[in-house]
This record gives sequence, structure tokens and C-alpha cells, in this order.
Amino acid sequence: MTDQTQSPQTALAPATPDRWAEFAHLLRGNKITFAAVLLLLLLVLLALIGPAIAPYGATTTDATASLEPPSAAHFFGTDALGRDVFSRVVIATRLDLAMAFGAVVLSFAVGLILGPIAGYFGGWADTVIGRFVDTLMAFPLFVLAMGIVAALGNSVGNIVLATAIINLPFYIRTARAEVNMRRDLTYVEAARMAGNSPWRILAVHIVPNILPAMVVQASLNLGWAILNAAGLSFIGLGVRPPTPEWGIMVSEGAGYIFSGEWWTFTFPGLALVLAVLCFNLLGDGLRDLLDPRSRT
Amino acid sequence: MTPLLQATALRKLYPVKQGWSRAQLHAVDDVDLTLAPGECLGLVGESGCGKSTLARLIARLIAPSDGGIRFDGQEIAETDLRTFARSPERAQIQVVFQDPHESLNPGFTAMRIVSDHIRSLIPGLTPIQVTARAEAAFEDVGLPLSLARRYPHQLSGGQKARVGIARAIAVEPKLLILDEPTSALDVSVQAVILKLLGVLRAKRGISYIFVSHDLEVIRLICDRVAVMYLGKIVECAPTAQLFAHPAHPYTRALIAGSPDPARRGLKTERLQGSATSPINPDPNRCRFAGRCPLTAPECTAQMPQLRAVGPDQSAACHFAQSAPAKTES
Ligand SMILES: Nc1ncnc2c1ncn2[C@@H]1O[C@H](COP(=O)(O)OP(=O)(O)OP(=O)(O)O)[C@@H](O)[C@H]1O
Ligand SMILES: [Mg+2]
Repeated sequence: MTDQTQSPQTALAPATPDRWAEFAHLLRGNKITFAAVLLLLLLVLLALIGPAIAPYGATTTDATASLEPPSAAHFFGTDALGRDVFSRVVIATRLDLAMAFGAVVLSFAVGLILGPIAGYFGGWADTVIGRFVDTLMAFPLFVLAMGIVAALGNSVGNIVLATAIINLPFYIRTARAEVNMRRDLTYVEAARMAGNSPWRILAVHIVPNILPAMVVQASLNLGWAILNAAGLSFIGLGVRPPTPEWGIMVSEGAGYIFSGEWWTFTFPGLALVLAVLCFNLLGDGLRDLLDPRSRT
Repeated sequence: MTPLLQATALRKLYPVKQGWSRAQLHAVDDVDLTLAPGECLGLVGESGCGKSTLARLIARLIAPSDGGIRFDGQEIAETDLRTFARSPERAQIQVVFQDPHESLNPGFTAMRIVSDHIRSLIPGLTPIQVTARAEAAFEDVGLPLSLARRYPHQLSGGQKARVGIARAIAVEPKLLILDEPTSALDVSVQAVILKLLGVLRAKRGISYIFVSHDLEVIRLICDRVAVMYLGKIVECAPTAQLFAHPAHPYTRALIAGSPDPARRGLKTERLQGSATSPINPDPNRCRFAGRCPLTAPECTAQMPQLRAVGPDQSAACHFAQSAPAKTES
């Protein structure tokens, strides 16, 4: 398609491009994305080693030190049961990220199957899948997620499932549009001419080329997924106390908004904001990186 | 000599909506065409006249609404497209597509584009044989092997065009269908690719059907030319004959309209208005009537059939023979 990178320089470029070097170069030119990548690394690190570096246990209570403000002993203060907010925020990273990633992987995978089928075959397959998407979209999505968890019971698995289901329409739509756009390109026609079956054309010639767009979609969607999973816990339809989870912590701390113990809800809330911001910036950055038109 | 390809009464109708009623768009209407082995047949006509549709019908990329195609002594229009795509004849008819940017998979290297095509069309080759064939094809189109490892976006327009040609000839077709293979390229690159196509034809003895709206390109590389107008072939003649003595008024207008310095100053017949609609055309009326300088009552009463007007020339016009005399007066 449009290709402004076609210049004498590219013609002289080495035959096998070092994609990582190119990626690093592009990152350096984009400070915000670079910051988002650093933040992502931090979040992933906390998810991996959080419990090991937390100074206190997630559920260790200390009746003598309840609702203490931030101090050297408790960086983020303590909650009503005397639990260390810093430790709980750090330890919760793993669960929150895992729920979001799980949901995104699930909707990514299902969207990558249903979307291309609708986009390539059209006809009744497109109609059926399109109706399914429309039906999902007809609900207020968060209410739909609440309904699913309420019906299936609030376990981590069901939160992931509910989050995946309400985000599925976006993946299906993106994949459908991207495949539809390529279906009639002459390179696909050439593959058809060579006797490739529709499934091989989809799997080998089309779907790999829509992955960049899908990855951007997933990255932008991760922030949503985190908010959604935490939101369910916040209203009591998600993970149950005393499990450390940012949504529950905000919910538990919310009772102290007026009495002034701001640290109980501010720090877990801040963690949520940072995570969402990180994924959104990352998605925007990825979109710019993968879009050849944005390159000079 | 038995023809390599013989299309009879080929027709492609597309259903379209016209207001509330349904109508038929006659993209290709009752076309007869023959092609001798080794011949290069040019297909010209203005945009929308059905050149691509005819080329795609012959290439078996789309199914005809009606009519037959005999290729190499075998009727191929009756097998459905999916079955044909897996038959041995599929490799015999290959296509070079118009836009080299979109006709190459952006996620494949040039090598993979060509070798994947070979593997799909010629089963039973070892990986080494596939690579050898691909390399031979790259050599024939003049693409250095060092470029074969690149992705399409790392190649220039001309290089991409070469990859597209390499893909088509790598399976050793007898017939190559080229749908405006150079129209997306710079003029200088265009000349190089046309030259390459000429060399390839001589070397491999492939027949070409060459679609273009550029008369100069056609004149350069084709042995015979078929002129299309609104889904019909209106004139067919050897290239030299067609340019020297065009029999159909549309052909004359086309030649007059093309920027040829040798003809500057000659009396020209300029076309008035635009083509009539290809949707539900009147079967008893010449498609060119109304726009034609010769329009007479019989033109709107009876559709002229393609008929011989010279030893090797045919035209679909009631006045095909009397026309030259008329322009001289
Ligand atoms: N899939 C389709 N559905 C409906 N109409 C079609 C379809 N494909 C082509 N047509 C119509 O058939 C006619 C011939 O189209 P075609 O692409 O063969 O023209 P062409 O001579 O190749 O023109 P160009 O020089 O612009 O490529 C046009 O009127 C076009 O609108
Ligand atoms: Mg065309």
C-alpha cells in the first residue's frame, strides 16, 4: 500500500533488517512511549516479585497500628485493620495484571477467529457474527459484565470471562475490518489462484498481516480490562476481601473519604490510574510505530 | 495451427440494483477470442469497458455467466473455480496483476512469495527443487538473488513488478495474462519492464494477453490487438494493420486520441460525450451509436456483429468497409 519509506536509503539497507534496532531507534524518538515502556517493565517486575519485596504480608493485621498515615515504617500508611497499604498495593499488582491479561488474551483469541471468518466469508457467517456483536453492544457493557459475574458467581475466572466477553466486540470488529480490507487485494487473489483453501489463505496470507492492528487494539484494551476487573471488585462483584486487589482496596478505603484517611484509597487508586495510563500510552505509541504513514 | 485459447460467446453479467428494480450490468458481452501459441494479444479500450473482467474470465479468476473457454484442446470454463484452482491446468494460465504494491504479500519475502506459489501449484517438488525454480525465475526477470530475501516494502516499484512476473513464470505457464502490468510504474521503469516482458516471451515461448489502455504500449509489444467497447470486442486485427487501417470508428477515435507525434496535424475524429451505460443495454442497438460520427438509422435498429472486413481483420460496424472512404471526403 502507500509506502513513503521507498527511498534510495531503503534500497541500500541490509537485506535482513534488525527489527529490534529499528524499534529501539523509534522509541528514542518518542519519549512518552519510552516512559510507558519503563512503567510497563516496572509493573511486570512488581507482578513477578511483588510478594518477595513487600515489607509486610498482604493480610498481616496489626491492631495497634490501624489507619496510620504514611510513615517510614508504612510508606503508604495502614488501613482499618492495620494492614500495610504499600505491601497490599504491591502484591495486588500480580492479580490485577493477570486478570487483565487473561481477559485480553481470551478476547484476542476469540476475536481473531470470529472476526476474520466474518470479514473473509461474508454472507451468513458475517450476519450471524455481526448480530452477536450487535447484541453484546446493545447492553451497557459494564452492566453486562455485572450480570455475567452475578449469574456465574464471583470468582477470578468469572471476572476474567466477563471482562473478555464485554471487550470481544472490539476485537471482532477490528479483525473483521482488517480482513475485509485485504480480502480482495490482488495478493490474496494470487493465493486463491494458486489453489490455496480459504482457511490457508486466512491463516497464512491474511491473519499474520492484521496482527499489528490487533496488538494495538489489545494494548489499548488492557487499560480498559484492568478498570473493568477492578470496577467489578469495587462494587463487590469481583474478588473477595481480604484478597489484595486495587478495586477492593479503593472500595474499602472509600469509607474514609470524609474522615480524612486519604491514603487508604488514594494509593491503590493511583496504582490503577498508572496502569491504565501506561497501557493507553503504550497502545498509542505502538499504533504510531506500526503505522508506516506516521514515519518519515 | 490450432489455437492455444479459444473463447466463445463469453459473457459476464453483474446483477445491480437500479432504483427499486434489479438490472444486469453487461461487463463482458458475447465475446469471441482466439489466441495462437506464442502470440501476444493486446486488449485495449477505455476505462470500464470490461478489459479486466475479460482477462479475469480467461484467467479463471471469476466464473463466466455464459460461454466457453477452450484452452490447449480442453474445455475449462465448465469446471468450477475451486476445482480448477487445484487442477494441473491452473499452472498453465498465470496472471501478472496490475498493482505490484498490493499484489505481493507484505509479510512474505520475495523468495517466499515465489516459492509458496510454486509449492501450491506444482505438488511433489522437494524444497531444493522449489528453491531452484524460484531462483531460475528471479534470474529470468533480472532480480538479483540478494534482493530475494527482502520484503516488498524494501523493494522499489520496478523490483516489485519483477517479483510479480517471477511468481507467474516460475510455474512455467503457457499463457500469461497481464492486466496493466506497468500502469502503476514510472515511465522509465515501465519501458524496462516492457522490454523484459518481450525478452521473456521470446525466451520461454509464452503467449500473452496484454491488457492496457495505452495504445503506445500495445503497439510496442503486441502482435494482434482486440479493441473493446462497453463489454464487446468491436475490432480485432494485427497490430500494424489496426494502426494503419482501423476499420471501426471507435478504433479510429482511440488512435486519434492517443498522443502520437507522427500523427500530429492529421484530421482526427474526436469522441463526443461519454459511453452509454453498460446496465441493461439495448440488444438491438450498436453500443457506440450516439457517440459515433457515422451514426445512421440502422445503427439503432440492429446490433452490428463482428465480421471479417479484411484478410485478418474483423470489425463490428455496419460501415466498416465504407468508413475509410468517408473520412477522406
Ligand atoms: N464485481 C463487480 N460487480 C459489479 N460490477 C462490476 C464488478 N467488476 C466490474 N464491474 C463493472 O464491470 C465493468 C467493467 O469493469 P472492468 O474492471 O472490467 O473495466 P476495465 O476495462 O478493466 O476498466 P479499467 O481500465 O478502469 O481497469 C465496469 O462497469 C465495472 O463497474
Ligand atoms: Mg482494469
